[in-house]
Amino acid sequence: MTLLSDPRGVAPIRDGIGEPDYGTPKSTSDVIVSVTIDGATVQVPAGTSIMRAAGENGCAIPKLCATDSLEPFGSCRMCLVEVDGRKGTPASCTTPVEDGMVVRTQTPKLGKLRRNVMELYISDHPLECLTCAANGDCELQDMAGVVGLRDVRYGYEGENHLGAEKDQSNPYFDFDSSKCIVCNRCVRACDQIQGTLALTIEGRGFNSKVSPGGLNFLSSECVSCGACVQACPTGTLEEKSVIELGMPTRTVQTTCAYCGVGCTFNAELRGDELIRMVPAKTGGANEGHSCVKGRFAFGYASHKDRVLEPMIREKITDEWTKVSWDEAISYAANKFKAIQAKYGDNSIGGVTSSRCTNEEIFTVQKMIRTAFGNNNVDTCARVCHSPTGFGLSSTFGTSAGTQDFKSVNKSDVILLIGANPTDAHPVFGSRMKRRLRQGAKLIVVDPRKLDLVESAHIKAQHHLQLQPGTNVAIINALAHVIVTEGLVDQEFINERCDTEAFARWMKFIALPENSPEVVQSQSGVPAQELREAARLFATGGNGAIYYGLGVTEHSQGSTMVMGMANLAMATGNIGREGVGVNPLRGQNNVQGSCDMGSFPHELSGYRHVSDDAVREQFETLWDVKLLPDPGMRIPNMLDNALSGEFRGMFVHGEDIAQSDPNTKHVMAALEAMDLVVVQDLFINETANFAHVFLPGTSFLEKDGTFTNAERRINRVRPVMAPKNGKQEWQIISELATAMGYPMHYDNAAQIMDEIASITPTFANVSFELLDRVGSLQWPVNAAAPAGTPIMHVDGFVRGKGLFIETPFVPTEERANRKFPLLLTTGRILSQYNVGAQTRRTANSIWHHEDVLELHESDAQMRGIKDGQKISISSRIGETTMRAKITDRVPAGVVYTTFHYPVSGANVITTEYSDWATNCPEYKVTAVEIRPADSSADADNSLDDVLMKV
Amino acid sequence: MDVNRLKMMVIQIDQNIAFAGPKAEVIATHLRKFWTPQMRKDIFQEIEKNPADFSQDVQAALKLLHGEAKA
Repeated sequence: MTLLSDPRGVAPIRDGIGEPDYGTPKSTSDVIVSVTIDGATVQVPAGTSIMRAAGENGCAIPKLCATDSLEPFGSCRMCLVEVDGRKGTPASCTTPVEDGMVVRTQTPKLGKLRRNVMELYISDHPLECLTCAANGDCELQDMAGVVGLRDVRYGYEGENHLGAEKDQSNPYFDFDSSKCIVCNRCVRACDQIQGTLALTIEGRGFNSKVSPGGLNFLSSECVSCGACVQACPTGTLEEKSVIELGMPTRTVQTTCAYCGVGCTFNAELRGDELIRMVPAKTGGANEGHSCVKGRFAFGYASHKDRVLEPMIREKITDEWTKVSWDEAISYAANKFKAIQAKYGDNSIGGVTSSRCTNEEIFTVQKMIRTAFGNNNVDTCARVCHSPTGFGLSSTFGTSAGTQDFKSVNKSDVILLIGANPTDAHPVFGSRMKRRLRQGAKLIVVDPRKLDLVESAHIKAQHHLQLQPGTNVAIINALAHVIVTEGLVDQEFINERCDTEAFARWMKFIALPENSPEVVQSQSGVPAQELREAARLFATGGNGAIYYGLGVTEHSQGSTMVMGMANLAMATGNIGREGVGVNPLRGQNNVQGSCDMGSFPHELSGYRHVSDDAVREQFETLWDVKLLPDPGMRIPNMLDNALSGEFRGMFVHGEDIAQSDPNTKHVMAALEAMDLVVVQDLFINETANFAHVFLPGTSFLEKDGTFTNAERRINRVRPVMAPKNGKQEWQIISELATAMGYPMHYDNAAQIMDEIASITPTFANVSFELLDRVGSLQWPVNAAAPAGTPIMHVDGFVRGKGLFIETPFVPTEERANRKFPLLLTTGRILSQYNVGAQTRRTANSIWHHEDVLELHESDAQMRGIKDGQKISISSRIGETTMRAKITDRVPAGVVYTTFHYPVSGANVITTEYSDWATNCPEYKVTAVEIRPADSSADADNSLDDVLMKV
Repeated sequence: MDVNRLKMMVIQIDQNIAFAGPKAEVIATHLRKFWTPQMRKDIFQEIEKNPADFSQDVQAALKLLHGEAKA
């Protein structure tokens, strides 16, 4: 038998890798107690376990079943201690310190007990440490060394688990139960951290074993978040990449580039090879948790499809020609200049990407405002959260969510509208589920029955299953009940809000047209359910609103955001922990792209271009004259391309030909342009219409910052050198320079310094500060040097909170005889947006094609069977998908995701958009479906998809 | 730009916008803040051609903006 001894306390297992583990969670008590451990007196918060108190003070106690991300369990009997005045040897993980307590962690008696326990573990454990993938990262191995185990008296011939079969079904990790010590950490991680409860301990006594239920991990309810793998103290649950490539030797902390949660990860490498991404416990947004995308789906960054050399072509029907960077940049610059010379300065523009860093985005919008000489810059936030900016700035005075994610831990009633966090924002979804399991109440407003409506240990008090397009009617009805039943928080309103505006709003909202009884006929939600939900929200304690694109992507998206803000103010749910109005941003840097001045009407920090004083600051800094009028939005650019006025576009990391509505219209507009420059990782749908392709960098190569949905500015650090040879901000600077506006930065930190110098909410931000403190939530300035986790604490940013009337104006897009169903769209856990990244990973094993969910009655009426190919048509276009019959959607509503170009979800979405911001109305499209004929598009089979991975 | 699209947009703004103040001014402020000068010009021309297609408030808003543009 070989045991490698690597005595460790709480320190990382290998130098520079991993994080300390204090065994039990930190106590949040303000009361400090004194305890003497091994002769040293230490002071810790009351409620701290002996294990943690000892560990924090350099006196680590051996442990196996304890880890500081989980509640103590007390099963392994390794952490026994002696306490003066107490009988026996209590487990230090489950015993909290008491004032004056005297503890001994190392005595001959304890040593013997621990060795005996360890001896039993090892007697049923494979003796293959040297060849085990976990060698060097195994707590069992370490603890055997720590307790001084030298021999196993029982032999290894008795009944054991050494022949247990490996479960290798999951694409990212293996489960080798022969190595399992049944410490329960994986089961508890799945319960307590992820909240899926997919794992259990099956059997009793010697027959106890960890089971994912079902046949194996892949067929179980496991969501592959990786929490179990991280919690496992042995090599039982191990990343396939570690098994194949070996243990990492160094780590770089960076930020995930998927959704708007913005999880912090330790990228663990071996040389320059990325072995695994491990969620950082110090991450402000995720606190050690992750989802299947951030944890495992990073393989796209090194996918064979990545384009690493610049390419140009004269016409989009030509083959691409690889060229040097200088040639590509000069080609693009000359073409842009030629277009402007012929058609005017206003004939070109660009789009920034919410997938890119703040520094890259800032340089793109700067290039457009300076080198292009116009304000024709827009961002993909146009098609997702632009109504959030409009609505929250109008009512509260700032274009951002009010809370940090942690705030949900203090919420008593959660109003979840048009968002599906367990799929689209999984790490926040887990946090929310944890609070719900603790007893918080949940009201879900969604046409579709989400997992959160009813799942393990979670049941929404109210599911307001409304007809798509009737959000505003619902929010008005909730407010109507609160106003007419005298449930408003008058004290908050008198103190914090514009009372004249409130009086106007109250008069409006009390109108009979906003009553639940009237709204029932519009929305399909029973009036009584609406009344009960409103009462619960108004009287249930801290009420928090969380919302997603199911709010914004409507023709009344901005009205709805204002309606939610009204509701929060009317009930006094703003300005403290547990409350607020919180947009769940779709992409990693939607918040940042808006902050950085990507909209055509405003400069960084949401300052309008018409403000002479603001413009003057930028003009002085940039040494250029700026235009005082708004530029074109994306839909304006596309419309003007078709009419011949707009001829050239710079598209930064965005696939508008797939993601924007009415694909046919978008493609026609792109085709009509003289020059389309795409900067991206892959030849995406938009690049099919491009004349210049500039290779981009993946998040693993970027140097900069992302700002997540809670306004948290996180560092994105380069894990490896740019595979394309350049940072994206360098490429943009070179293009601006080639167009005649000299732009130069030595590094990304300089760009952030420029942002900070000109953007009041970022005034104190710097890479140096971020590297020192980890992350910061803006505003970060002289008034808030440590950032602002919660907004509007002492008053609204705009002064007094402004109630705004929110009349319900139904969309023009309505079901009729020809198109009797309403289509709405959403995302699924394993895939991300247009799928350019996740489709190039093994995540496709869970979702290899988009399907159309429909109710059984709608299927029966049309003779459609589950799994059958069907044709979906709207007045805009037609596409085919496979049918999935489900009770998640009510009769009359159908639902799909949009992760595969072949599905053509946006071939059928319409040109309707939000009245204030032109955010497209993706969530309501009138459609008809029928069985597809035999000539329908070829299947997107799992084998085909995995072949491409 | 496609004037029918602009027409649809301005009618939608008229139907939905509910900020306090005289409606024409509220509409004008919105268009000033978010529309390009060319869009404002194009819709003004359309209103001059087909005023009956637009509400009094929209007409007044556009006249206000046109006056500013000329000044």
